[in-house]
Order: sequence, then C-alpha cells, then structure tokens
Amino acid sequence: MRRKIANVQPNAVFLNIPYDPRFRPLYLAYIAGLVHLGLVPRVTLGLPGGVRRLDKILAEIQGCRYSIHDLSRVGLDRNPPFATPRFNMPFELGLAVGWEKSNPTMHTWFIFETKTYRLQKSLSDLNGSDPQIHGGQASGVMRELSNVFRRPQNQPTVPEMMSTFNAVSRRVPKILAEAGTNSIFEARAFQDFCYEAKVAADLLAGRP
Amino acid sequence: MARSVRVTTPIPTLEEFGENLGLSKARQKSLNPIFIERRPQGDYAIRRRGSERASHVLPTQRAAVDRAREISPNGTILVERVRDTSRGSRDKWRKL
Repeated sequence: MRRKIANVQPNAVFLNIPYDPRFRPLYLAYIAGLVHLGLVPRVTLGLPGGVRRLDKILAEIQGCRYSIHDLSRVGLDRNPPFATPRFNMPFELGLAVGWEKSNPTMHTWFIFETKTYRLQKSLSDLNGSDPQIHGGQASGVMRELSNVFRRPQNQPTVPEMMSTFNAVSRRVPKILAEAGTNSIFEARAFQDFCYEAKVAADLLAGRP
Repeated sequence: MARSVRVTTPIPTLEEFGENLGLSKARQKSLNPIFIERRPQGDYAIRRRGSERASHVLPTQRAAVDRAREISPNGTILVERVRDTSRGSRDKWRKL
C-alpha cells in the first residue's frame, strides 16, 4: 500500500538534535534563531501516539521543507545500562538524505556540528557536504542559521537573534514552572519557547 | 560545500504561528502579551497584540497594570515608556 505523504509546510524546519541537558543552550538557540528567521521549528517531542515512532519521525521529516541535523553528540554515551554511540541523529539524517534524493524540490537538509573536520571522520559518506560549525555556542548557532537561511528582505542580524535567545532564556524558569516540569525537552515547554521567541522577535522587529 | 537557501515564505503573524504550533486559542491568549499605552488624552489603554481597539481604558498607569494582571496573571505585560531614562526612552516598551 502506498503511504500517504503529509503536505510539506514551506516554512517548517525539522530539528534533529540531542535531548541532552548539556545541549540546553543550543536547543534554545535553535528555537530562537529559527523563529526569528520567520521559520517554524518542529521536533519529535510532540509526536502523537498510536503510530510507530519511526513512521512518525519519517512523516515529520516529510512534512517539513527543511531539516537540521546537529551531530554534536556523536560520541560514546556512557549512561547505563550500556555505553553505546547515539545512532538516532545520524539515522534520522539518513532518512532526510534519502527523502531529499527522491524529492529534491520538497526537502533540504543541513548538518550542524561543533568541531571542524569531525564529520569527515564520523560520517565520511557525506564528504563533500560541509557542515555548519557552531562551536558549541549559541551565537555560533545564530551565525550559522543566518548563513543557511537567507531572506531577500529583513534578514535579521546575529545580535537581534541573540536578543530573542536571551528573552526566551529568561522565561525558561517560568515556562517550566507552568508546565510542571524540570525538563526543557517536553512538548508543552517546546511550544511555549517557540511562542515566546515569536513574541520577542516580533517586538524587536516592530511587529506588535 | 556548505549549503544555503533563499527563504521567500512570508513571516507568519503571531496567530498563524500559534496555529502552526498547534497551540489552542486559549493558550495563545494566555501567552499573548498585553500592551498598556498612554493615549493622547492622558489615560491608559489596555490592548492585546494585533487588536486595534482597547479592551479597557483606565485613568492611571498603575490601575491599567493592575487590571492587566487580573486579565492575564501569567502573561507578559508591556508598558509604553512615558519618560526618557537611562534604561530606555519613549516609544519603547518596558516588560513587567
């Protein structure tokens, strides 16, 4: 049976990132930066139940015009019960690459990394595709996002995007308290971060 | 080679963005900031983003802030600056 493909949302960006407490500033930076650029971030946190996770992830990638794959955390994860590398992010990147190869006008993927040249070692099949190197800094994420997504008009500056990032970061404790959680990697908190980022970006751009 | 794309889709409005995120109208309303601005008559109007009409008009800024807090206890309140200070000048918004 042929699977029905979701409509592609032209300004949606699938974020393939590690849900890791140490990744918190970069997670907020991706949200703030993408929203400030007029894009809509999507993550796997809010996926509806009832369908196999892999199918949901694939549908999410297919529904987004762009995807960002942050391969900063490709090292060995020593958390019990087994020390293993984390395959989820490279695997999802593979899904996006395959999807783009068969539908080049419907999807574009980007790789973000902390370290220069590491990708050549960790994923040499992608040699020839340069990753965006953010250096593990929020400002680096903003810089690379604005290198990747170019608006013909109203391209925000990196300091403006950082201002949105700071506004969202300040609201984190309140948002988590309202969501009744300590983790920022939850669906409701994600929605609230996005909305806060939009409010902050619109205010800065004079769109009240 | 590093890739880049030209983004030509219009920047969504706050309402469109909220819908895209799957936020309910009620949730959007609670997150949507309230603006308090001084009117030429000298009183203070409370309005939501995107709304031209004031929902309430009160004689003082203090009364307007108190009313805004009643309307949206967890929401963001932005007050129009009415003085030039070292923290900001007129025509800027002060976040409470």
